Amino acid sequence: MAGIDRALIDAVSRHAAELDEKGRQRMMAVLQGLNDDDPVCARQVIGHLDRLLGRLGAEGLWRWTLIGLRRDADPDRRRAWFDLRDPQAIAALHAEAGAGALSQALDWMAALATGLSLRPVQTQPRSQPRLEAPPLRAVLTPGRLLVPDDLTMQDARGDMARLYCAMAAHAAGHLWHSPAAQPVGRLKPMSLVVMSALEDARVDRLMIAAAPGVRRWLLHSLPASPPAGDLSFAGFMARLDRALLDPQYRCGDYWVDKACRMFEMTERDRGLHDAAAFRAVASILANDLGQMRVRFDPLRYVVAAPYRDDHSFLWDYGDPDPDTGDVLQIHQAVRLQRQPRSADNPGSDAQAQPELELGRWHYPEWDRHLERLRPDWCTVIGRRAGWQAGAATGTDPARWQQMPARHWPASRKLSRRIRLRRQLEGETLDLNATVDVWVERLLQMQPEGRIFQRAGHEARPGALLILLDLSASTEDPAGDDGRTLLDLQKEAAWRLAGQALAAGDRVAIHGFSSNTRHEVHYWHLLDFGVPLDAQAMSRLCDVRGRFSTRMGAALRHASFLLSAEPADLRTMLVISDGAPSDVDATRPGDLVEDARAAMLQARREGITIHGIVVDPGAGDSARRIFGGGRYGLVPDALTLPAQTRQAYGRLRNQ
Amino acid sequence: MTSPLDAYRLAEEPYYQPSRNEVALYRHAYQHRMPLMLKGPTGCGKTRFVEYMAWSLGQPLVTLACNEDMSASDLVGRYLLDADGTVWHDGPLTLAVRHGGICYLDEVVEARQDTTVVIHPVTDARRILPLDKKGEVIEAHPDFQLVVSYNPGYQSSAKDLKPSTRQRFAALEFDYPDAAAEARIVAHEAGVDIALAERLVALARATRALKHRGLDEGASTRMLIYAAILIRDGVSAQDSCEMTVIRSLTDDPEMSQALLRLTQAQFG
Repeated sequence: MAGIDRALIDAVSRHAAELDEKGRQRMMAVLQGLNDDDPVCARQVIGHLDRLLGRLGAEGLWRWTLIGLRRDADPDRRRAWFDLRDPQAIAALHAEAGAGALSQALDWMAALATGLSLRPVQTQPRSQPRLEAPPLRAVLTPGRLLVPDDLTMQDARGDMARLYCAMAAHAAGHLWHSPAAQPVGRLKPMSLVVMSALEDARVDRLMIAAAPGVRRWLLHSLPASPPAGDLSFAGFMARLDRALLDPQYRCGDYWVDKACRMFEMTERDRGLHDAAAFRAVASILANDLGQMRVRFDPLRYVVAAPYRDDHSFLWDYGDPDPDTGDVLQIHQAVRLQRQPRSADNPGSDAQAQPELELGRWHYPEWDRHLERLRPDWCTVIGRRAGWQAGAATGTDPARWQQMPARHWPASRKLSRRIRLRRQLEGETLDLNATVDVWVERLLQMQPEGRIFQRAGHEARPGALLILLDLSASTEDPAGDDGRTLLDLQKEAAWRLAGQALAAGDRVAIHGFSSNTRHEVHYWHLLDFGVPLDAQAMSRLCDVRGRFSTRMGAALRHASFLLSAEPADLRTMLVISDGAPSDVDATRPGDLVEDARAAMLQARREGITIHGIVVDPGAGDSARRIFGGGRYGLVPDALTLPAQTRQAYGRLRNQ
Repeated sequence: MTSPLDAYRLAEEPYYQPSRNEVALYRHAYQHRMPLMLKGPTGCGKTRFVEYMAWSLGQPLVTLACNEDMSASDLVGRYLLDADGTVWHDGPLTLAVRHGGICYLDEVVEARQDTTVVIHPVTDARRILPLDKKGEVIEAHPDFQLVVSYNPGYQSSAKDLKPSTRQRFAALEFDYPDAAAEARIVAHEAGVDIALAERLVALARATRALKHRGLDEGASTRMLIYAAILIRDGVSAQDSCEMTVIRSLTDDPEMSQALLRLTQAQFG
């Protein structure tokens, strides 16, 4: 970091070690941004870093810094802020400390927006990339709400949860009532903004009518009214927003009063559901502003109310018309790429399917020296393996059919739902049988004493996840016939999957390899519920071995997937060729301990994990990871398929 | 002349708000004593509908809440022992078959499949009920009809009707009433004003949008009636809804937060 002396860099590095990747990026963005703006402010923040991070965390530090920058452009007052000499900086520090993380609110916001709009809504964060950029606003698409992560407690007026509620309710209002993606045509930017503002007010009123409690959220989340002398476009719009929502508000402004009168008249005559009528009113009002020579700068304008979105949902800008010279740049609207949903891949080509990234997940990693989990330390990249019919691969599945099949009986469990009657022994009397016996005795017959009943057994559904080590070392030859260890792993997995499916279990085959903690590749070769057919075989055959073996992250992700299976018996079989390792893990044993921690966590969640290691020299690490009696060493790789089946057969009957 | 089923006759007209033409369809089915299956989410009015139809047709209603402990003998009857020896006692199904009435098996999938097959002979053209232990075959009374209900949302491979059982029934699909009708039902059943009932119905519809998105089921009409009763008694709307809706629907903290906000959206 240029301009900061060595001692300060060391102080930063010390804190960097305590933060996860995202936190570190936030902290560095704050310091670098401040340093670019005013190095004095950056040094002041570094001087208070212990206190700031301890109180706020990286995300809170980010928000507190944004407040300081947005609040005042005067260098001296900014320095007072970042040096914590300004009482308002102290107050903001305490306020932001209580704001809570956005990540904790996203789930309930999604549910709230879904419930209010009666449509499925997902939420995800929208990151503010730069300190000095204008505040972000939410972005709404037909099924998703992107929530800005630069909202501060000042924006929320002290109640972040209420702001999030207002945001969800407003988004629900648009989804429910607003015509989406209307063509902009030749509308001017000022007209678009005024139309959008009236549309905001219209849907807010509709939401209040449907759910009266929404009014408090919206009113609380409106920004303070601008001073009376503010005759800027932003000032007019801020007063308009408040006047249309708060019947108690009076600003005495002729244009705002006219807008309110026209709005109320339209609501009375045409009803709130007639969006086109309000659009016509907006055209008149925008024309008035033009005649009043109110200047509008689309590059600097930001919707005043932090709970409202950026209006990209309402308009279809199409291709900009080069002849008009009117380039509409209200603010940066995110055009979301409509990515295919994970695990959904309809319409697959019968001949080929490309590799598909399913998503990215962050998992902690156990640091055995600090004796704690480092949050969000590893990035697992879920991938659906591609395949191509007829493509040459190193794996020849023809040999897989030669070994005799072995059939397991369906796994069974004791169940009260199955009643075995007329038993010689049991927990309770079978009343009918008892009566029969008594009748026979009265008839002086010799009845059998089968008068009891007991519970029988019913099928116990099981789910098996076979996790293959796909590191580079598995491409080493495993025998004299030219096959690699990876080939044998695939054969073992394929055979086991076939037999488990035949026994009524659900099966998945996944694999993993890693290239540092930032890239743990997790391959979906066969998913639960997918048939074991030619496509699955092609997918399995085509995957290659590469990189390293960061087992802990893979175990955590596999546990996450397996936990979603509605089965009584959830089993994971891990097939590996040695101890966990990775290029960025330089201390011996670190990844072994992390894999052990992941395994213990999975076991606490009810998952049975068994390891099969094709390396007699890896016995110590296998015992450490999986525990005594929960792993098997395979000295001869050619016996891997058979040993894998035996291991699972034992696990099923436990 | 008294009948063993006199105790099963409904004395008053049950309150029921028709949604579509289910009343007329039921009457048509009853004319032919067609076995009926009522399908729908929990608390949407299936049982109340059967009660209403039994009352309007002037028939006794023998109701049995099915469970997995239920055996065939619980349906058809068994020998019991008394001072004089063994005495046969008709089960509820046999009572309805013998003396003529509507037998209603509520949540029929809760019973084991080896129990529910007992109903097969009375649900096809034979309309007979063999009592094997007694050596008797009862021809169904002309007024007998069998009605079953269940909630398709809870189906699993273990709890489902056999195809041979399902196909003996005609089926009526039930769902929660439209908002206006549901509000009238809640207002009537709980004795509250229609405006409060409408707020509760709006809350329920919001929760139903979360089915399979965090909730197994949305709030039922029954839950709303409970909430309205508590509100009528003076409990705050927030507390009532938390007690009768939120805590019953979910244990998940995130979903509870969302439901709490939805309640606040309706009741401030």
